[in-house]
Amino acid sequence: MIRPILRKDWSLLWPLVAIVVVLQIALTWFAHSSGLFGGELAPRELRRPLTMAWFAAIGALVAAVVHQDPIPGVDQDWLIRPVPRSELLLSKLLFVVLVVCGPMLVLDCARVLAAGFSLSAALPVVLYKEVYLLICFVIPVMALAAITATMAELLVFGAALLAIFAAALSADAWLLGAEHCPTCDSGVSWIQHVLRHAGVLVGAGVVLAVQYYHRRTTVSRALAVIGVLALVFGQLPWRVAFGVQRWLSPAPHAAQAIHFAYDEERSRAPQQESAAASGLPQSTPRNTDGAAERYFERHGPARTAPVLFQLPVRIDGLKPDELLLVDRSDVALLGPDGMPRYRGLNPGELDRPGPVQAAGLALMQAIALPARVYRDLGAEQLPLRLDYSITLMKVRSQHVISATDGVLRTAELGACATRPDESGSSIQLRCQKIGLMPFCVGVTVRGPEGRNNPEFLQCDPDYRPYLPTLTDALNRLAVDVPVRDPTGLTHYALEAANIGTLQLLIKVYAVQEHAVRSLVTPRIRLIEAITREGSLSPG
Amino acid sequence: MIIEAHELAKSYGGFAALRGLSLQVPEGSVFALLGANGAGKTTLIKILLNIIGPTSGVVRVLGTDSREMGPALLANIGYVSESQLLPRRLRVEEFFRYLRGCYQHWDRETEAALRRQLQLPAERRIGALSHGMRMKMALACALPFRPRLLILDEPFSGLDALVREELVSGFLQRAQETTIFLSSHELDEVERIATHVAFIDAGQLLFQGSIASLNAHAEPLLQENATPGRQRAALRDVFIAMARRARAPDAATPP
Repeated sequence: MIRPILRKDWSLLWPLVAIVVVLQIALTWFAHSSGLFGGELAPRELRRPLTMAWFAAIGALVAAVVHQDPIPGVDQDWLIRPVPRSELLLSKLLFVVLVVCGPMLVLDCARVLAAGFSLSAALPVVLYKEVYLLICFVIPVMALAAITATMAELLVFGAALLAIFAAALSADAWLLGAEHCPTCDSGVSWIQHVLRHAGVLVGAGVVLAVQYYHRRTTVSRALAVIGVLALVFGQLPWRVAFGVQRWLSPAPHAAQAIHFAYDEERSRAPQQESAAASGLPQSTPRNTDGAAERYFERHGPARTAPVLFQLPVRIDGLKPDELLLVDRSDVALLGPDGMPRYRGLNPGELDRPGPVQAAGLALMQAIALPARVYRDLGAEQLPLRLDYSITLMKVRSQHVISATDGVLRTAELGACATRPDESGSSIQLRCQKIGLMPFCVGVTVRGPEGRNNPEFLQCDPDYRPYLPTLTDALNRLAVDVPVRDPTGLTHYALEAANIGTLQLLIKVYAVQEHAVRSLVTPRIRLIEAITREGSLSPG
Repeated sequence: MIIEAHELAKSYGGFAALRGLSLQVPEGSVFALLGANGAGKTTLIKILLNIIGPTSGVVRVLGTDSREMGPALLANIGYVSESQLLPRRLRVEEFFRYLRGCYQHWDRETEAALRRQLQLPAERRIGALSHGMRMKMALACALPFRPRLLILDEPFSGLDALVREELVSGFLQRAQETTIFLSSHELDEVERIATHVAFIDAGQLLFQGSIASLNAHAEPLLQENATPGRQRAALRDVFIAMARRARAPDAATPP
C-alpha cells in the first residue's frame, strides 16, 4: 500500500522536489566555494536568503505531501479506500526521507569529501544531520500539516500559533523579567533546547497519532496550542540545568582549589572606577530617613530602574593554564536567620567581563538590585551573598600556525588556515571540522625574537555535547586576532608590518569542571554603604 | 442484511441531523434512500463508512460495527459521491494506476471496459474534467474491485439527461450481484432501478420497504393528497405525501 501512495505523491510533487534539490545543490555549492574564509561578499550575502528559501521549500514540500491526503474533512478520497492509517503515515514519512534527506545525504557527503575529509569520518555526522533535521523540523511540520487541510489553512494556523507564542513570550517576560528564561544566552541553554526538541517531537508524535488514527482535529489543534504555551512557560530552572551540567563535568573536583571571597581590604579604598553603565542610577545619599524615597524621587523616570553598585571580589586558586567562565551569578540579601530575604539573578558582570585568567584575580563585581528591594531592604543591616555558577577551563592542546597563508590540520580543530584581513588590522584564523568545534580558544601572536602579543581569547560558552547542525555538516571556527588598532589607541608589540615572520600559538581550552561557589559580605546597610562612585563599602 | 442501523442519532452542536433512525438493507438489493436536501442522507452515509461517528446508536455494515471499519472492510465497499475530493492534478491514468495498487482484487478487464464505455480520457488531469466526467470517473473507479456493497451519494446530481442514462443503463448493469445503496432526491431515475426504498425527512425515517410494499402502504396517503390526472402512484407523490404527513402538527411517530 505504501508504494502506490509514494508513486501518486511523486507524480504530484516532483516539481517541488526538484526545487528543494536545486536549492540544496546551490547551498552546498556556496558552502563549498566560499571555502574557509567565506569567499566573495555577494555569494556570502546570497547564502542567507538561500538558506531561508531552502527551509521554506522543505516545509512546503512536507506540508504538500501530507495535504495530498488531508486528515481534516469528510470528503477525501483516501477515507473510502482500503488504506491502513499506519501505512499512509509511513508513506508520507518515507517520501520526505527519500526526496529530502536522500539527496541531502549525497550532497553532504560530496561536500565533506571535497573539503578533504574521509567518508568514513563524515558518514556518521552526515547521517546525524539528516536525523536532526527530521526530528527538529520535518516531523513538527508534518504534525502541523496533519491538523490542516490546505496550505492556506496551514499558513493561517501557523500564524495563529506564532501570535500565541509571541503573546505568551511577552507576558512571560513582563511577569518574570530576566528570569523568564533562566538558561537563555548561556552555555547550558542546550539542555533547554534538548528538552524543547524532545517536547516538540513527542507533541508532534501525539498529534500525528491522534490525527492519523482517530482524526480528532479539534483535539490536535488544542494540543498544538498547549504545546506552544508549554514551549514558552516550560523553562528549566537555572539550578536544575546547571546541576545537570555539573553532573556532566569531565573532571570532577578539578575546581576544588577555586575560591571566591569578598575583598574587604579593597572595599575600604576609594574606588575611582564607576559602575557607570546603561544610564542606571549610580549615586545614593548617605542619610537614612526616607533616603531611598528621596533618591528615587530625584531620579524621576529611574524610580523602577535597578540600583547598580560594585563589589570588590578576589578569586584564588586559578593556575596559569586555566581560565574561569562565570556562567551566572545570583545575589541574595540574608536575614538574621541566614535565610534569603531577597534572592535573584544578578545581571551585573565582573569587571573586566569575559573569562577570568590567573593574571587578574582582584576584580570588581557589578551588582544590580531591583529598585523595590533597595527601597524595602536598603535601610536594614544585612549580609549580601553572591552565588556563582562557574566553569573551569584548562588548556588541552596547543598548535602553532604561520600567521599568513598558514595551513594546519589537527584532530581537534580540523583543517585551519590563516591570512591577514584586507585592512591589515587583524589575522584571520579559520578552521572547519567534522564534529564539535572547541568553543574556547586563546590565540597569541608570536614573533621571531620570542616577543608575544597578549593572548587573544575567544570563548563563547556552549557546553552542548552534540552537534548543532541543521544546514552544514561541517563546523567552523572563526577568530580575528588583532595586530593593529586602526584608531591608534592600542599598540601591539608585534604588528602587521612583519606579518610574514609571525606565528600564531593556538591554545585550545577544554571544560574541566562546572562548579558553584559563594561569597558572603559582612552585614551592610545598602543605603549607607553604596558610595557616590557606586562601589560598596561596609558600614 | 448487508446494512443494519439501530436507533442511529447524530447531532452537530444543537442540530440533530439524524434522530433514532433504524434501517435494514437486504443483500443484493438496489436500496434507494430518498429525502429532501438536508434530510440526513449524506450524514447517514458518512456514518456507514466510519468517516464520522454517530452520537448514539449502532450501524453494522457487512456484519461489522461501522466504528471498527478497517481497510479489509473498505476493500469490499465502493463509494461514489458528488462531493468526493479526487486528486485534481493527477491524470486519469495515474489515478487508476494508484487505485490498482490499493486493491488486492482489481479487475483490469472491468476497468478497461468501463473506461471505454464511459469514454474517460487517460491523459487528462482530473481537475480539468467536467463535473459529469468526474462523476463518471468516480463511478468507473468504484467497480473494478468487485465490491459487495456500492454506496452512491447523489450520483445523478448535476448530470445531464444523457449522462444519467449512460449511468443507469450501462454502469448499474455491470454492478450485477453487488448491493447498491443509493441516496438521492432525483426520484425519477431512482424509480427505474430501485428494488427497495426508504424515505427520510429531518433525520427521521418515514418509510422503508420494497417498492411493491410501498404502493400498498402509500395508497391511503395518496388518497389524502390526490393528484388530479394521475393513474399510478409515482415515487415523488408518495414521498411528498409522507413528508407532508410527517410535518403536520398532529403527526404521529413514523412507522
